[in-house]
Amino acid sequence: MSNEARKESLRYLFDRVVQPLGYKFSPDEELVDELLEAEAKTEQDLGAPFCPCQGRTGVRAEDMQICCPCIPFHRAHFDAMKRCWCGLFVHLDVTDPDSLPQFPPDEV
Amino acid sequence: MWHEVAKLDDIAPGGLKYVRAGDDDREICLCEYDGSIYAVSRRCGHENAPLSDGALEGWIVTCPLHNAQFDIRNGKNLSWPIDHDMGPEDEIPEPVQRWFKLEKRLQWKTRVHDLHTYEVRVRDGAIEVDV
Repeated sequence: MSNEARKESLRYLFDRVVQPLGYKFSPDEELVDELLEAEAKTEQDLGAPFCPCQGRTGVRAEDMQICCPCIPFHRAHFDAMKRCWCGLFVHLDVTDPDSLPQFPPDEV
Repeated sequence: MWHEVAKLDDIAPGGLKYVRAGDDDREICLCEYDGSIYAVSRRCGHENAPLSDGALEGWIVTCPLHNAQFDIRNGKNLSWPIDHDMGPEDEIPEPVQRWFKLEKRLQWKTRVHDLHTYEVRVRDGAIEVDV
C-alpha cells in the first residue's frame, strides 16, 4: 500500500466529517499534504491518526480527543480561531489561512 | 461468464451485500456507491474476514476484523490493519493481553493484498457479475 493512497483516503474520510461541522481542508495544499503525511505515519505507528501538532498524554480518554479530525472536542476554541490547532482545517469561508490567528484555549 | 447475483432493489444506497457466483461458488461483496454497483472479493485481503459485514463509507470499505480499508472501485488496499481498541490495558486479563500481543505480532507479518474486483452490469433491474 502506498502512503499516497492512505493520504487520499484520509482526505476523503475526513472531508465527510468536517464539512457538516462547517470546516474544510485548508487552501494551503502544501501544508495539508505535509500534515496528512504525518498523520498517515502516526496511524501506522500508533493505530490512530493523532494530531501531529499536539502531544499525547498517555491517558486514553485525553489522547482520543486529539484524534484527527478533533474539531468536536475543541469546538469553542477552534471556532474562535476559525481553524483547527494545526491549520489542517479552516472555516468554510476562509480563503487566506495565513491571516488566521493561533492562540491557546485559555485565551478564547 | 456473466451471472445474475441479485436484484437492484436488494441493495440499499451505500450498502453492502454478500452474494455467490460462478462454478466455484465464489464469494463476492456487492457495494453501492453513488448510484453504481461495484463487486469485490468478499474476503478481506488481510486475514480473509467477510467484508460484507464491514462498513462502506463512500468508496471505502472497512473490514470488521482489523479495520483494513480498500477502494471498492479498483480493489486497492488503503490502510494498514489496526487493532480494535479494547480499552485500558490494566482492565484486560493477563492471558487476553498475551493473546493480543501475539496477534499483533503476527498481524504485522501478514501482508495485506488488494481485493479482486469483478465487472458488473445491470440489466432489467438485475445485477450481473462477470466471473
